[in-house]
Amino acid sequence: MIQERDIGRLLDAFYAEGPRQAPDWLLDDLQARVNTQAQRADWRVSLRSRYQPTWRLLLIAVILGAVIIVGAALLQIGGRPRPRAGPEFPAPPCLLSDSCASGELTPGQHESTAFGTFGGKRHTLTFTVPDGWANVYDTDIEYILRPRLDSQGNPLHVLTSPVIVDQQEPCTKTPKAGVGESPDDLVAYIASHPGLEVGTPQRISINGMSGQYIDVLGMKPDWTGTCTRYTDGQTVVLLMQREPGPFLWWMDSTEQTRFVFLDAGEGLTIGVVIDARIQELFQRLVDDQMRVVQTMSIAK
Amino acid sequence: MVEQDLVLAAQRGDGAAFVDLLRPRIDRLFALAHRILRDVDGAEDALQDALIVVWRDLRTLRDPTRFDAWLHRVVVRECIDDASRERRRMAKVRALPDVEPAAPDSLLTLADRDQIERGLKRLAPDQRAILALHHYAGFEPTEIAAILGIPPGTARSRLHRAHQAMRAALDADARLAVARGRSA
Repeated sequence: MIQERDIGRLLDAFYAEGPRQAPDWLLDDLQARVNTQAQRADWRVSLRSRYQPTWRLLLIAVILGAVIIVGAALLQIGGRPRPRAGPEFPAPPCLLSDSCASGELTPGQHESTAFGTFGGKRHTLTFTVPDGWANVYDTDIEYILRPRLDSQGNPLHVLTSPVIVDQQEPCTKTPKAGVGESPDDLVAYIASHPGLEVGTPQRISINGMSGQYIDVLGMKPDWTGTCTRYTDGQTVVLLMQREPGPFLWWMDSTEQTRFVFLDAGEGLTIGVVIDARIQELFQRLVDDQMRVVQTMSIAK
Repeated sequence: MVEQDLVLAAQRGDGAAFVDLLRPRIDRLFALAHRILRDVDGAEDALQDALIVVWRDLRTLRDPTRFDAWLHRVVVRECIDDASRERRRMAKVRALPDVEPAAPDSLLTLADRDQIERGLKRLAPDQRAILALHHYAGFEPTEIAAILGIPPGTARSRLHRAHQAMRAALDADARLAVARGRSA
């Protein structure tokens, strides 16, 4: 029987063969067709564009200001208390289904565009990367960095409000009752998980955020848990997020992972996941990626 | 002119900028379409249609830096739609695609290639697309997620399921070959 890893190798080799060059006429034909094909009217989409002429931005600002003033006045007339929210913040420009990742990053400090909405406030993630990193995903609750040239696919995930999953077939995303959400609670759960071989938890403090990290080094051979909805074989399903989102972290027997949990204050826990699909890479990955993690801070 | 300017110019209706934007990408897109559809004519048709859609809807792209992901999304979608229509017709008998001669150090035998070709034809179009995005274009699940507009976890599970389906297809093919051998 063909194994899954063999399938990957076969397909890599198979796809490497075959035509690689488009016929010349394709671009010529396209040129002719764009000359006769009109683009769709843009007035609706142009209002959503991040690239606006100054006059339009001013007009929008004036209209928004007027709406806010009138709205606030109406609320006061109605006798409703003013919300005691924190400082105003711009709404995240990206929806969950429409990541606004930055792509390749220049060496130096960067911050998230969308990541970090929690409790009605923005908690922007700031970090510093050396040359060769990219941001490949940025939503309000999940941020993914990746060494640009890493062909093995070992991204660094940062997420808000990680919670432990109740692992039960058919492997739906259900939080495990009775497990807390603080860094200590999360690490204690992972450290005592019956299916995992783990290292000793370590306390850590990063730019005012305190927490713990723990390395998952393998899976116990007698573990029988599965998650057939997503993967084959023995699996430990560990993390999801309190806010609705796509994130679900499961581990199979080939992975080694470092989980870092940090208390960012105001009830916000930040989770960082460093994952090595190839175990031999784990220590190198941890060394490289922890250098970036050590620069992270959450601006409030 | 930098690429982002080309996107903005094309969004303002500059057809030449649009073609300039696509010139360095067209070969790779064509190759990707071919890997999904397994057919040269089909790949040309799908790419032609997809690029007109890209031109027509370019102003809906909010962030010019995401042009590539969006372009790939439109092309892959068009390929999947074309492949689905093709499957529904189920009539047209396709010859094996034109395959460039294998390199001398190719890992695959002719029998391997035939078997994989048959295996791929058993897969759903979206499974073929995700395999081509990963194994030909080299996209990781997070990038595939951005291209297809799905969550990364979903991309990862779909890739896994496509691998499973491919393995099942190849196993089924092998069993059929054994059965034929016995009855011969």
